[in-house]
Order: sequence, then structure tokens, then C-alpha cells
Amino acid sequence: MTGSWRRTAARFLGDRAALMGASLILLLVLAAVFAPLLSPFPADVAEFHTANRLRPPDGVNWLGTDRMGSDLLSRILFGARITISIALIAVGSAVLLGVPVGLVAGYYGGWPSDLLMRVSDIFLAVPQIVLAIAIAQTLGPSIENVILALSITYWPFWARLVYAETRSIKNEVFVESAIALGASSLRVMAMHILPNIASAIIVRTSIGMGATILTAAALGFLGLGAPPPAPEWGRMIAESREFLPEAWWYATAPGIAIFMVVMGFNLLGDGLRDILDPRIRRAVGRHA
Amino acid sequence: MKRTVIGLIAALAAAAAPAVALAQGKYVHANNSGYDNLDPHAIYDVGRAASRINFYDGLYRWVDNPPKLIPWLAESHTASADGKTWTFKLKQGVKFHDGSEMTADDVVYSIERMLATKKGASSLFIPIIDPGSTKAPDKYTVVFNLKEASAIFMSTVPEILIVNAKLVKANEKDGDWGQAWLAKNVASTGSYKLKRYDPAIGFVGERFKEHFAGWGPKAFDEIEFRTVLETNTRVQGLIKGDFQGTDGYLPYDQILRLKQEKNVQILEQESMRVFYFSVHNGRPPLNDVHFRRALAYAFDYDGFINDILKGAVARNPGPNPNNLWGAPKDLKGFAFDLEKAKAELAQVKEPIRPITIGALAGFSESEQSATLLQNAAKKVGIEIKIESAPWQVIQSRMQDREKNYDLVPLWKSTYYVDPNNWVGELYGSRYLNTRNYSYNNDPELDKWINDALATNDQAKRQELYEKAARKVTDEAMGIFVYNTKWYGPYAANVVGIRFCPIGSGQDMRWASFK
Repeated sequence: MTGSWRRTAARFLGDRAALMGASLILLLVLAAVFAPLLSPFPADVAEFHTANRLRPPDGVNWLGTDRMGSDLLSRILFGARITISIALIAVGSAVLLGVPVGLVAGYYGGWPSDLLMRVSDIFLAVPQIVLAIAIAQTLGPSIENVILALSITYWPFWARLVYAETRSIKNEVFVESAIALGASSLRVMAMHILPNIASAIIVRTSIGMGATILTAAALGFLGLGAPPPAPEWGRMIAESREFLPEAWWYATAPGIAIFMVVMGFNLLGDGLRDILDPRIRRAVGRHA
Repeated sequence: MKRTVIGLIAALAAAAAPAVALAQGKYVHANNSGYDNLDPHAIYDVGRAASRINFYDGLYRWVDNPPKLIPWLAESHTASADGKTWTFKLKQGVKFHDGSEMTADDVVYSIERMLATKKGASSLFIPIIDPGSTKAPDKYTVVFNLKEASAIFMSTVPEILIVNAKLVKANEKDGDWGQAWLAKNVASTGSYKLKRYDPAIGFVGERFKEHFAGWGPKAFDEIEFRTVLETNTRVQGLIKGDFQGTDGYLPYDQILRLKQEKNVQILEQESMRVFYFSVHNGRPPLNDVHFRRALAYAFDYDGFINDILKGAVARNPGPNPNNLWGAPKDLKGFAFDLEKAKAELAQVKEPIRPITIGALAGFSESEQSATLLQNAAKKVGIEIKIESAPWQVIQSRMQDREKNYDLVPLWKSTYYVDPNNWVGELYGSRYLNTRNYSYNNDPELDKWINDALATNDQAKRQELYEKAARKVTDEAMGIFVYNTKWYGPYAANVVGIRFCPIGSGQDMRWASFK
């Protein structure tokens, strides 16, 4: 077991893209955790200096200032906190909801399984962003409602994935022997099936984080996210539109922040898939 | 090969030709809010003024700046000595778009329709005209019998827009006064005929060649008012030539940018449009004068006017515009002072709760002023939540006492040139639920406002409006910020824009291309 993990770690360190993805995410986490220390003007999250508005990047305001004269770098660093908490909570709840649903439906089969899967099909039939906009608009703009909207619209992706994986694995010999030994259904699902499909879930989660951040930014852009003056990246881009193209830095800074984070999660997800998914690993091995 | 090239050039020329011909006679205006309804009696705001002005006519019409009233569908009028009976002589031979003649019956139907449907500008007439009291003694004479004398009646006459009674009646459904039909159709004598309308896109009007007022030689054959919510799209479109005009609410940063463009002109006019926070005086803790004063002290007037708007507007401490009579010359108003705000807040008895600002989405000044107040209010201990919503949503919520936001930063434009347009409508209880969104109940103020309406004595009226303005300001019934200049962005080749503070220069019948 230890040896397998060491091999996995070695593979990961050898994968430049995955490593880069991980570093970008590490950067986001560091920015979020140490925002008060890293920000040149931490008070600017809620402090305006109208006389300094729309200053281009310079030695004082490295990324320039926004329409209220606040330092963009500081706001982006604090915005990382919002981004990371939205992504973690939304994807976390989607996983917590989707995985058990998929597991139970895939393991038992029959009409309850069909019911659960049809419900998730209904959610999947509507584009996620459209459904999320509808929910967030109905509930009113706030971070909590964005998280709720994203969780509600995102769980079916995990339910589908876990369902398919469970179906394919539940007739394997090791599962059948566990059942023959008298293991309870719960034990079989939790101890035998789940660990064997974990890699697929991890990969989906990493890529899902990127997609969630993008959707959250879109909701913020549409004014459905955190209400002002929260330094939410999507909202910052929305605010900057009126000042384009003159104040190019205003849209660019949060835009690059979103780009980097989403790319980070996608690269990490791709890398993890290469490493964790045994089928792809075999394929890679054959061609290598 | 040569033939192909010639063919290609011919094809290109053919393709380009209609576009050029079109550009000669079509004016396209990009508007920052939607045209959700064309009924001239249902809407009454600057954002949607274009359909009212260009499709409909009134008995008189406002033109130019300073605004003056010119006879329009009427050729003259007389008023009785007591100011209650107003007789209008109509022009003869005025044609509706369907070719039938406009008569006194259409005028009577139009005012009755306004009084019955109780929307739009009807709030100006409901207090003074009873349904059924307007008479048509002959085909070309209309008599308005007012319940009480009204000093502003004549200034509001242009808002009685005349619809084609026969046509609207034919399209009435279940006694709805044709509201469903007129929301999407036009039945009028107006300058332009409706050619195309889509609430999501806007409208296209085609010049009504037989219009009674005649036409200039180069008047636009077609006008299009298109909804373009994105500020940058409007600005870019104007620069590129896709649009020939846009709204007068652009952020000043964009005005400065447009001033540098060769094919764009910015028309500047002294105007009367007061930017203020509408305050819901009717619910705690906003019904406490100290709480309202705390908010009025918590707004950074200088920062907003000089930094954000780069000094393009002038501070206006009270409800009435400074450049109009009825605004006390020595009125001080509030200044940004957080210590005073705290002191006022300490005197508030009711528990302080978080308050909500409804900001106009797409109007950056509204949003920025909300953020600015939110920021400073937080420092004195008032939590403010900002909700952005489209203008139509905000307006319908404001007209409902329960649903109204606590505060709304917006403009009070000129609908007629009289202090009643500002302090009267905003704070007189006779306009509750229609034009008065402050939900205050102040008998003293009501008396002044009503007395000022009932007399024609100018000195007396001025005194009353000044008293009202002082009281409203002192008790912070609203937070008054600035009075604006009008910056009208148009294509450089557009001439003849006849700006009037009423309608903000959207009356297109006078304009043309060079």
C-alpha cells in the first residue's frame, strides 16, 4: 500500500501539468488564508478613496484601483476567500448528496434506483448555469444562495458518475465474496465499493471545482452573487465593464485571477486522472 | 478572372447600396432601459419617454430649453376667472394614423381613460378632475371642469396624450380600456407610426407623412429606439456608427471618452434633474428624523460629485433644482460628517435594523452612490444591504408601500417646470402611491403644497415651496445630492436635436442628418 502511494506521488511529481495545477491552487489557498497579511491595503475591502479611483497599476497599487478607489490587488486577495469557500462548500455538498445517491441507486437497482436516476436526469437536462441562475434569482442575491444554487444543480453529476461506477463494479468477485462472507450492504458499499471508485470521484471533484468557480463568477457577474461591497471576482468584472477599454486593468485583474484558478483545478484534475484512473494508466503504460 | 472581379464589385455595390440609402433616413437610438409597454397612459418616466413623445401628441407640447409650451393639437385655450374651467379649441382636420379625423370626443375619451386606468401621468389629474366632468360641446371644443383651481394644470396638459378613441374602443377587452392592446399597438395622430415592436428589443417608427404639424425637408423617415442595457455596447455602437444617439445617463467617464471621438458630439444643456435618495419615511427606524439625518450626514457628497462625477454636476442641497424658483437660495443642506451622524444616531429610539437600498441596475451612478452610502453608514453602525434591479422593477416596488425599498438612489427629472414636480410630488400626500414614494404623512407640508397648487399668486407660491423645501431638507425626508447638466451623446452628423428638460431631447421630429 505504502509503495503504491509512493509510486503515485512520484508519478504526480513527474507530471508537470498536474504540478502546475497544484501550485496554482496552493497559491489560491495561500492568498485566501493570508489575505490580511499579503494585501497592501487590507482595509480597502470595505474602504473607499474616491479621489484615487481608476488609477492604472503603479508602484502603490500594483493592479490599479477600481471605481471606488479601492486597491484591486487587496480586493482580489480577499476575493480568493469568497471563491474558495463557495467552491468548497458547493462542491462538498454536491459530493455529499450525489455520492450516496449514486452508490445506493447503483448497488440496489430496481425502481428506487430508476427513480433516483430519473430525478438526476431532470437536473442534467437543464444546463447547469441556467438552473443556477433561476434558483439564485428566485432566492435573492447572496453568497449563501449562490452556494445553495450550485449545490442543488451540481449533485447529479456525481450521482451519475458514482451510479455508473458502482454498477460496473458490484458484480466483481471481491464484492461478491464480501457479500458471501456475510458483510452488510452498508459495509460492502462503504468498505469495498467506495474505495475502488474513489479515484473517479476525486478526479471529477477537482474538475468540478474549476467549473463551479466559473459558474459562481458568472452568477456574480450577473449580480446574483455576493452583494456589494464583497470583493467577489465575477462582480468586479461586471463593475469594470463601464470603464472599458480605458480602465483595462479593472477587468483584467479579476479575469486573470479566475482564469488561473480554473486552470489550476482543470490541470490538477487531468493530472489526477492520469495517475489515479487505472484504465488510463494501463493505456499510458502500453504506449510508453 | 476580370469578369469575376467586376462581378464581385457589382455584388458588393449592390449589397452596400441599400445600407447607404437606409443610413440617410434612419435614426437608431440605443436606450439603457427597456420599452415594456407602449401605452401612453400607462408609462410616465424619462427612460420610456421616447414612445410617448414620438408616437403621441397632446393638446400642447413642450419644446426647447428653458421649456416653453406651444399649441399642438389645440390651437388655443381660455381659462375661467376662478381657474376651474379650461376650454381648449382644437385644430381642425388633424388626422389619426388610420386616416380618421381627431375630434373633441377623442380628447374626452383619452382623459377618461387616464382617470379610469389610474396609471402613468394620471396621478396629476385624479386629484383635480372627476370622471365624466370633461365635456365636448362641439367637434372642436373640449372643456375641462376642475374640482379646484390648479396652478400647474396648464403645465401638465401636454401629458394628456390623445388616443384614437374609436380604434381603442374596438380593441377593448372586458372593459380594460384597451390596455392589453395599446400596450403593443399605437393609435394616435403622432409624428411616427408604429412599424415594429418587440418588448425585448424596442420599437421602430415610420414617419407619418400626413402629420398635421408638417415636416422639415430632411426629417428622419424612420426612427428606432433599441434597448441596449450594456453601457459599453451603447458607447461602442455610437463610436462605430451603429447608433446615432444614446441616453443622457452615461457615466461621466464615458462622456469624457466620447468627447474625444470625431464622429460623436456631446450636446450640453442646463437641465433640471435632481439626484437624490428616495427615503421610505413610513417605517421604523426611517420614520425617526434622527435616523434619517444620520443617513444624510453619512453620504460623501464631495467625494461623489467631485471625484466620481468629476465635478460635472452641481451640489443641490434640497428637493427643488437650484436653477428653478422655489429653491431657497440660502439652503445649506447636509454635509458629510460622521461625527454628526453618530450624534443623530444616538438619539434614535427605535431599534436599528439593517436597511435595504434598491439600486437601479445599469445606472452606474445609482449603484455607486449606494455603495458609497453603505460604506460610510457602516462606520457609524448602520448596516446597509444593496439590491440591484431593473428600473421597471424598482418603480413598481416603490409604488407599493409594503414592497418599497428603504432607500432608492435615483433622479427626479422634469415632467413639467414647476416646483410641484419635485417637492410637491415627492412629499405631498396627494401623490401617495403614484409619485410620492416617501410615504411621509406631514399635515403641515401637505397644507403648503396644496395651498401652492390652489393659487396663481407667484410670490405666494414661491414662499410656500421654499418653506416646503426647507422642511423636507431639514428633516431629511430625502437625501439630496446634485442637480445635473444634460450630456446628450449623438452622432456628429445629427442636427436639430431640440433638447427640452421634459423628455430629455428624445423628440425626434425636429432632428435630421446634416
